[in-house]
Amino acid sequence: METSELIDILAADAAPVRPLTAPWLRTSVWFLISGAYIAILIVAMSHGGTRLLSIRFSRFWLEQAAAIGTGIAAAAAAALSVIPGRSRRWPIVPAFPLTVWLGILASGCMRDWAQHGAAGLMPQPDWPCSMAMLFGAALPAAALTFSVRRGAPLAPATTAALIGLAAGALSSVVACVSRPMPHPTTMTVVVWHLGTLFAMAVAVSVGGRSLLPWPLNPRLAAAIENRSVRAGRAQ
Amino acid sequence: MAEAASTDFRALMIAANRGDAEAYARLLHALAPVVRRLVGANHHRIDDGTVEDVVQDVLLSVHSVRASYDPGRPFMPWLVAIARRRIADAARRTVRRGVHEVALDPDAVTLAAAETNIYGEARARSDVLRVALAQLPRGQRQAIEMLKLRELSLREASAATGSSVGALKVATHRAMTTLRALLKKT
Repeated sequence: METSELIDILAADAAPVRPLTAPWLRTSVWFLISGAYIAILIVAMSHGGTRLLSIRFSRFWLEQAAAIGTGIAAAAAAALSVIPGRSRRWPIVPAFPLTVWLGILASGCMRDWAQHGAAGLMPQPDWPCSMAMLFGAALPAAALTFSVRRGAPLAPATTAALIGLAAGALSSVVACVSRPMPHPTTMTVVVWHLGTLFAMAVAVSVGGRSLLPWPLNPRLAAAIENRSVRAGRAQ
Repeated sequence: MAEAASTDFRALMIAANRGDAEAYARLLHALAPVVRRLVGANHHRIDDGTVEDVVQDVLLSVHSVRASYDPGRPFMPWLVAIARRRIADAARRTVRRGVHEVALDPDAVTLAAAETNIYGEARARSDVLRVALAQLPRGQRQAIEMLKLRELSLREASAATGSSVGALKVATHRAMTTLRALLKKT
């Protein structure tokens, strides 16, 4: 098919389009939906949130704030990554809150080591947290994927990894806060929470191309195919 | 080039996103040479025959994600980001195809090359065949002439030569073996 023929088809399909909402607005809407979801999960999984009210450690709340910050930054970076012409450095932004989060966890590990020696650095089995994270990440990941699919998948693997990071970071808060007891060691959080978060980001990133294909209206695809078939017959 | 430079892509894009088909057609026609230049600058990364396919791919992608254009921002970085991605996709396809396929010269070139057609050329030349036939024993040569060159049936050849059908079959087989050996030597 000639390029001029394709242009004719595309021009015939020039219906008014609703511009993509600003990335900050999409991120805000995503956070409102995901925040409500994780709040419901926390209340449901922590039997009314009785432990929640008794947690007084400022380091614990700082850790959760850093996780939420990582989630929001990753969601904003994902929303920006599907807009052509924006800086390609945006995906680095979540690294800042993530570094703060890692720093808080590192200080927790140091404190455990100072108090309990080598035993304080041993991770304990914590499958329930991983399960809670997978459950908690489902809706935020789906909502963010839906939000970015109208954009251009310029770097699908990166965008998908950011979706995994955003959803995983928020779900880590669910797993931490809804536990009946505090984690035995900070290293348990490092291994199980960050391990699950990393696995989620990698898994979603691997499927990035399937998750975020270039959008194509089926009616338009059919029109192009028909024209191509006619052109083939004419030859 | 001058036409593309003077075209206000941003204004046309804004009009197109409002549903102005005429402005959209003008925009796409003006964009085609710009995109072709962008793709051409990357010709070393993609198959030569697919340049126009990539141009069409870029235009189709522009159409698919035109909702992502922000009227408050410049147009060209938006276009170049899409084109760069589609060119990278095409380059990836080219590399993938290269891994699974072996490129062959066109048939005409391959078959015309002397070094690949020594035996075929020799066999095709009738004078070489005539010389080889002359070297056969009389009985074998007669069998070949009757059965292969004049295309007589075994019964007709038997009646013409006075040999039995079995003897003709044996003579033909031996003649073919001898001819094959003689032509290989040529």
